[in-house]
Amino acid sequence: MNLTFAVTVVLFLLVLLAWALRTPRRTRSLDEDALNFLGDGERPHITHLPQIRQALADADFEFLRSRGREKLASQLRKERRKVALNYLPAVQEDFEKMLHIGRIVAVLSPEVKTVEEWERLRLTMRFYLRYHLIRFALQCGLAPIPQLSELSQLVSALSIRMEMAVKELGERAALAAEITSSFGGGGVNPV
Amino acid sequence: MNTLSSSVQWVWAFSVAAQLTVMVVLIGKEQFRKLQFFTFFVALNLSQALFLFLLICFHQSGAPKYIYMAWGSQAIILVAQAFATTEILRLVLGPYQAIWTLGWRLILATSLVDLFFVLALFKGDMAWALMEADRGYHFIFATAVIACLFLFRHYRVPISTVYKTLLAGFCFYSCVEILINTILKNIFTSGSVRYEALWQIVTMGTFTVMQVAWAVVLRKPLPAQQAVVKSLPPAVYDRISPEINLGLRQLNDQLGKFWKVEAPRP
Repeated sequence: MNLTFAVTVVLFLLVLLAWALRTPRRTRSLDEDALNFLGDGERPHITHLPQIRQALADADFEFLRSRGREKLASQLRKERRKVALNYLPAVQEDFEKMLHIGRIVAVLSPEVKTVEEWERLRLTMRFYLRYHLIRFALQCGLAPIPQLSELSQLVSALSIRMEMAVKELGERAALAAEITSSFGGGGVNPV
Repeated sequence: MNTLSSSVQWVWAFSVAAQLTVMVVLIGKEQFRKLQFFTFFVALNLSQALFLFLLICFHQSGAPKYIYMAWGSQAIILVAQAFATTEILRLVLGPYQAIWTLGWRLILATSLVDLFFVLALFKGDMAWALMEADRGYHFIFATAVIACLFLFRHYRVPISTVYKTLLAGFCFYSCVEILINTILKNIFTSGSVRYEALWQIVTMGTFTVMQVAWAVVLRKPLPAQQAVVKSLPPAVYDRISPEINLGLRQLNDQLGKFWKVEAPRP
């Protein structure tokens, strides 16, 4: 191992160590997230889904174009692109909630399957890579807006399915109580 | 009788003082009851310091017997370090049986990959084999600890500052060992006679800093032992986990389609 290579490896390890040890920006703990998800609190992203979908639909642009209002159609597209950009973090939040249920179930299970957990980690990394690429593309005006509508529908459907699955299993109350007691230790921070 | 340079003696003295402080804190605050392997590790380090001091004072430092005895004591310390680290990981992950099992698999997997990497880089230089083995161990150790810290982070497993500092200290020290072992070889081959003093000062200096940090955090009480979390029935995981993965896969497929659709009309 030559010196340059060793220095690079060590620096890389130290960066990883610092990254692993840093306090997360969002300090919500596992219990808070779980209780929010399982609780009866409203989820604004799903509540506003019909309006978002309508805003992203192509019908309005087609109508304006058919009436020769190209400029207005273009302006409308720009504004709605902003709406899409604002909506993307909400999609991400829904995704994270879903992911979080997976984490909670894994943490509270007596046994987990390494393949399943690895698959989730792989999918999560892929999601974030694509998410940021799409965000960048939207900012540059390159990504097609109608696709976002389908994406938001899918995420919302998945969130609802997850919630139903948890409810159906009848563990809601027990799980919430369990999590509250398990993760409520004082002076202990989630990594 | 050999003599150590005054700077090395000072670092040595500080290091022993720091280790004694950690030991006093561990005993005084009764932390040793929970951190048994860790306490044993600190005690072994103190014993090694005394052993090496006597070895240096009464033997010729370049003699093969001296070298093998010194490295032999180091091997014992490294095994104790692995046990102490496992104990800390066990304390953090104890209540979460499944994550602990996952952690073990992760440690095993990263260690095997690293071992392969270390063996692939070994050029058969037997004169440096012990040092390369030491460096390889520290590389495997640091990677495994970092992997576990990522595991904690991914599952948001709560970890107290005390345990975090202990693990970070071990990991940081291993990183310094990897670096100094590599630098040392380069300095030695360049013909410098000061390599031993440099090695002692850097490694012991880092070790002393780490001990001071440990002594500071160990003054605080350790978090109360959490009871093993009452697990969900296995059916919950078997049902929900594949469903979540399926959902995430669909979501990813959907995201992938973004690039297959034509660009927006002007």
